[in-house]
Amino acid sequence: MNPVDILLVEDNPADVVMTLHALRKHHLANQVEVARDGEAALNYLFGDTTPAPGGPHPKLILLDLKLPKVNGLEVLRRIKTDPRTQMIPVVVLTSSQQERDVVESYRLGVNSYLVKPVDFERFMEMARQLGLYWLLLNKTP
Amino acid sequence: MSRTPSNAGWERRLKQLEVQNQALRAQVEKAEQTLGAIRRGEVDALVVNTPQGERLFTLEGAERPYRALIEQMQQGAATLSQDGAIHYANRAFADMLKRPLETLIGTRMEPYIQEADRAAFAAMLGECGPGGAQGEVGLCVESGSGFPALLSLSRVGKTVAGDIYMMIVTNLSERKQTEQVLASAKFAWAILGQAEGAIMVFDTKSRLAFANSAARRLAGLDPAGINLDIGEAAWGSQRYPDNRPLPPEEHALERALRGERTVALECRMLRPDGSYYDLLVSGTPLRDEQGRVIGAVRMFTDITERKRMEENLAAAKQIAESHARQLEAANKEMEAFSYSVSHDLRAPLRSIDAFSHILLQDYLPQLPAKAQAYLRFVGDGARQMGRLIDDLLAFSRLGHQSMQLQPLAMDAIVHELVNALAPEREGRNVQVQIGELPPCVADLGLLRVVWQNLLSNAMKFSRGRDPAVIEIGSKREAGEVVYFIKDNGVGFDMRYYEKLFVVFQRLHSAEKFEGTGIGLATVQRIIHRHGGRIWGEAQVDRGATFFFTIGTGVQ
Repeated sequence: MNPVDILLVEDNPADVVMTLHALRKHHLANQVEVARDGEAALNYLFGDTTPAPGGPHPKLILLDLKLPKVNGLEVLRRIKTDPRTQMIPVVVLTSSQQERDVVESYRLGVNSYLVKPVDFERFMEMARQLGLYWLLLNKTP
Repeated sequence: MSRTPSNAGWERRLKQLEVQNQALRAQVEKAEQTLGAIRRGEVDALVVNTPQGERLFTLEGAERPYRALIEQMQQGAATLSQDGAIHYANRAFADMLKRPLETLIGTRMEPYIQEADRAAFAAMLGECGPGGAQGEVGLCVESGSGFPALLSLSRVGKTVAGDIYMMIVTNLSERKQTEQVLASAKFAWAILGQAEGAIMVFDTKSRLAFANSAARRLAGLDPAGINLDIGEAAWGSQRYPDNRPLPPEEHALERALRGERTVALECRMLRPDGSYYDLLVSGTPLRDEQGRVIGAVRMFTDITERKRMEENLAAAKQIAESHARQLEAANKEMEAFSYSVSHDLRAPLRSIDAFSHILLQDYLPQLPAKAQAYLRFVGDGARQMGRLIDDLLAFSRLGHQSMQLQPLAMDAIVHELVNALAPEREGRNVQVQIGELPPCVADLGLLRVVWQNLLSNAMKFSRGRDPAVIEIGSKREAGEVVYFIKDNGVGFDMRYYEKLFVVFQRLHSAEKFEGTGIGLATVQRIIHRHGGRIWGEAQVDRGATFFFTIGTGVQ
């Protein structure tokens, strides 16, 4: 199994397709795992099939905040408080511009907070820069 | 002719009578002389022949008691003749007139009576019978001053020279003073009794000694009630303003009886009939000349009406506050709602825009020309809706955003914004004239939004004009600075003026002039938040002018 580059936590199928489309267009991600809700994301990260700490974790987690079952902030909290996952860069990718979401995300240790633009071209550009920075430029331990 | 004896008898008899007559005349003369001497005070004693022998009558003996009485009495006394000559006067009368007694006797009364009263005096004297007459006249004192006096006249005798009158003179000036004192006391009582402020006086046993009519009215006492000998409890018990009973030792009255002064103690009184009234009570100890407390004076003002108004006001304030809280909550809810709506609206929009793009990018060759055009409509629609959502969000935020008022150089702001229009002026002939723009006090960010909207409107609606002329300036109206921006664009129909500042209302078709219909609504909201006014004037095809004031900027 090829190592997963990105875990995309997103419930909106259109946004999933759009994000994958943008990442592929820019040849940024070969292996993307999609979790459709917070619970699925936590299962993927901490379930029975989960690799041990230091194992083959995703290089980047893209996290929506408005998710069914377990919401994005709770997922973020679990990721950032668990030693197995706390090193993984998490980028919140959401529609919410609400100040308290931004503040809470940073308080929980998010690495970046991005608002999805409505304009598709700007969305494409954002996805390009995001992948470029976190997967190619950024140095992780 | 011969005399008869009878004739001789008559003659003798006549002679005897003549002698007798002479003797009598001499006696009468003597008596008259004696009387005159007595009158003139020259005689102190008379020797009178009586059948019992000679008897000595002295004034000392006969009149001493009366004379002493008259000499020593406090009132003035005098005997007068009918023409007003003074035959006799006592010392008191001389003292009243401040003249030596000797100079009075034999003179006339007239000069001692004030001129205005002389006729009245003469009349009194003329009409006076044995029953007497009384009248008030002003008497003159040697020094020139005078005093009011009561004259009592009575005719006491008759002499050959005429009637003799007794006059008793009472100095009224002291009595007048007493009357004045009494009158002023009466006046003071009248003031107390009729004062609007309620006044009660209590004795040391807290018994009501006096209550003026205001106090009686307030306390619900019988206004004509005479029996004041009732304890305080009978006319009401005192309570704190919050209706708790006031301990008796705290009563203004009890405190006053202990010698304390109480000023404006607020309390609530319960009438015997159960109704209550609110009072401001002041208590003052009442002391005698030695400083002992002999009672208490309590004054109070009815503040029932005022309290009721205060209570109503407080209730109204509470309602207003609760409304404000509700409004605030509603605003917050509204804000949360508009946020969530805008975000939830954005997600599908993003899909519409994204997939129309992906289709146009990745599947273009497979799409018929019509399908491509339709897809472009889909994308345009999505983007327009995106702008609407953004504007609406910004507009709803305006209501909550806090303002930072500061002095602003209006001309610098406008120049900067006009310069920023350069890209839009590309390929157009636009003349912008900027006149005098006085500074104002406003929120910088919001004021920029105002000018941005107005400038962009002026640019937009003057599209197609060559040259497009935009004039910005100010004028002074009734001490207020009115800013304006005028263009020579398409203007608008004043018949639809009502819609001008309403959200989503547009006076031009989207085909001719793009827009969301939120710009002017935003501008108006900002101006109103500053306390200013905004209005517009236009004619179709003759341009439009917008005027506004910044309320906070009026210095």
